[in-house]
Amino acid sequence: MFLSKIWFVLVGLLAGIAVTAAFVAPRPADRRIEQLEGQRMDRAQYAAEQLLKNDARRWIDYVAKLGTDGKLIDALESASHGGDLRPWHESVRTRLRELVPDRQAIGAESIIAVDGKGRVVGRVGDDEGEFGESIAGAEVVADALRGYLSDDVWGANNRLRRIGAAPVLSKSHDRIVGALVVAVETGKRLAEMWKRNLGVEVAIVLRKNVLSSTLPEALLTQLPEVIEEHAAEIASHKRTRALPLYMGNERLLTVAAPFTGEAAEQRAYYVLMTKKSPESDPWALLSSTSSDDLKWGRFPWLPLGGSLIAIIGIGLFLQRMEIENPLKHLRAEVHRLAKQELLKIEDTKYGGKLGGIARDINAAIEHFTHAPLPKSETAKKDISAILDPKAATADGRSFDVSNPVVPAKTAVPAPAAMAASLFGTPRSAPGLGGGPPAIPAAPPPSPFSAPSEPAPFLAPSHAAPPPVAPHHMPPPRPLPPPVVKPAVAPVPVHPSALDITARDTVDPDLAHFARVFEEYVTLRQKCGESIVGLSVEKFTAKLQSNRQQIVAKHNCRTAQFTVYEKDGKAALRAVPVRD
Amino acid sequence: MTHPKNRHTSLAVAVLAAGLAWQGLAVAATVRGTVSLPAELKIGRRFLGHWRVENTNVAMQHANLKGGTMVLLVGPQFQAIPPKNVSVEISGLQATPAAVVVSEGTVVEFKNSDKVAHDLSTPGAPQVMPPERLGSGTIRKQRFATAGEYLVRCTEYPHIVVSVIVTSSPLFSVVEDKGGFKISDVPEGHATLKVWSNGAWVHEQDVDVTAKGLDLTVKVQGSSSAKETAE
Repeated sequence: MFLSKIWFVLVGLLAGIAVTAAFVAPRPADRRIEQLEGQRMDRAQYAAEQLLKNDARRWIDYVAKLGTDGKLIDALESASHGGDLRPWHESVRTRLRELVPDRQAIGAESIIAVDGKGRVVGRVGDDEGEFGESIAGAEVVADALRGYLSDDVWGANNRLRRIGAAPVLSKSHDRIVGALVVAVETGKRLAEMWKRNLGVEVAIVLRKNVLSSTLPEALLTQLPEVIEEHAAEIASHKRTRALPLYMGNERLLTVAAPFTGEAAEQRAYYVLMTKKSPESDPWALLSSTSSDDLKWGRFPWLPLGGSLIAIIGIGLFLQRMEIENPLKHLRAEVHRLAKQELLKIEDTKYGGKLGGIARDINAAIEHFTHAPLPKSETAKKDISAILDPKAATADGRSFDVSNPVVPAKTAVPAPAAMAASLFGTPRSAPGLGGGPPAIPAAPPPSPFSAPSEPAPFLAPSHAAPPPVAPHHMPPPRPLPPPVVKPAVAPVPVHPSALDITARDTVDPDLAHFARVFEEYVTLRQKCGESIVGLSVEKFTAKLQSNRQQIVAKHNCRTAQFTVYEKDGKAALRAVPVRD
Repeated sequence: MTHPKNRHTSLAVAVLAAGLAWQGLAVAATVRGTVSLPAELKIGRRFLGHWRVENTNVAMQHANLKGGTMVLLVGPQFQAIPPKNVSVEISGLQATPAAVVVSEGTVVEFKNSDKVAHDLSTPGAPQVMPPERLGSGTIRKQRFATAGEYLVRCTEYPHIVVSVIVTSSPLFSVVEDKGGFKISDVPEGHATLKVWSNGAWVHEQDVDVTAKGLDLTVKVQGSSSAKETAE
């Protein structure tokens, strides 16, 4: 199963890599998206700066053109001589109204006309009735009175206004007689215009207050603090990098840049914002896929399906090669073992756990057949002793030929003890304590005839039966030395054995018992053990009894007995047969 | 005819007067000269917008320094003058004078002659002069107890900046629009001449004042040396 394990490890690693990639792969994509969004915000900020610059120039040119109006020039020139401005105030205001009828439509909050000393002569828009005060100290106005066309941004009275100013020259163009100043709304109107043109959300901040925004201002409470935290960056780079900003559940990407002029000193910023793409995860990516993504040609169905089939096929092949086939063979061997076609499983053919199972089966068989008996009345007794307890008391192993004892039914060892001797199970089997039912009423064992008239223990069915031993047996004599062939072994055989062997042709079990008995006697002789007291009837009855117990215990069809040598002595082994 | 005794007395007084006059000339020289500012300090704008272009018809006029450039002599031998009140008027969205040199403990009065209110404070030293709204036509008196340079700003109109230089030296002069300055009654000896412009010390040099006085040409370097030291 080595290759199967390696394969499963490889498949597991592959799956782990796939899962890791599924979770990790969106991260670089997120960073890339954030980077692209940041670049987009950079471009939007650059565009906004250009819009501001172009707008400033447009307003400067606008008031410069207004300053060429003759009536205004005359009024401002007259006012510049000094004295009361009242006579010129109304004419200037009226003229400005005539020149700029669409002031609100074009976004101009107010237009102010000042004389050469910087005094307000007239204005339209905010505070139209006010005049006379000097605004010459305002840098953009002072510049205009010195001949410059310039712009500025003011942040007074919690309002932000872009300022454009231009000098008003005399009709002879040889001196400056005044200046025109325009204040342009810099709030909601500008934010909405930028949102349309730049495709981003816009907020305008003055001194930690959000003046206006295309987003709900209540949600931008964190914005001024975020900008203040980056004041140094703004001072050095005239803008911030793309900053994350949380607006409720929304994530924004923001770039803040200062307005020019005085407003920069007043911490006036315009902030461009865009909603940040949500962070990707495998589920979000899956939920965002469409049917087009799974179309042939877009999705690699063939390579993916082929790979999947190959992975499964290789896994199944390896499993069949390394698990199922050996398991099948093992099962077949176990079947053969059960049928006694095999004595043991060839465990060397199997590797890994199957080999372990084969070895365990062999060990179990070995245990059942050779396990030491627990301490009981049958402990350390072989089947000979069990078959004849009295003989066992004589020499512990053999029957006494000279003094054969016909065991009574009660003298037969308990079936449980017999089973224990065969399978190492010491417990008794209730209901099986009777005598062997298979061969009822075997005639009492007769003493064997004298050794001078030996007869083969197992004679063919046609062989003459041995002489029936009389009830009065002569004193026992030692048996002749063991012979190699049991057929010629000088074992006295009870005449009933001939009957049994004769019945072998009819009853295969009796033939089996006779054969086992023959092998057993032969092996005992071979091992130099005594065979005195052995009788085929008693032996057969015992084996039948044992077989019944085995059948009852193991739920098998029958039991087969084999003779083998153990520790230089003959022993019996019973094997249950199921099929 | 004059009595000979009276003649002798008059001669002695004349000699004494001449001696005292000589002595006086020896300890009170005059330091004068011209300060040449770089273009960035002469443009008259602290905060620039996107555009600043000249008209094509009328020559540009020079910016008024508005008293914002000062020359100061500093030396250990100079005796501090007692504090006295100084007034600064804000009118037409500009402060006049734009810079004052005062001794420690001087009270500066800020008068708002504009129609709009001004929120004056020293952002660089908030503990000295915290923000306070100065309504139209009102006066705010502020005492400067510690030597140093303070910029008093208006929050609403940041171009309004008043430089308050608190020092022990009584020797200073406001630089005229053409750059000229004159400091009289300067004791002989070693001193340091410093130039203040646009809210910062922009030049500093050592001078040895002699009995004949000094005539200096002070050339202020460009923006790299111009830093706002007050804040």
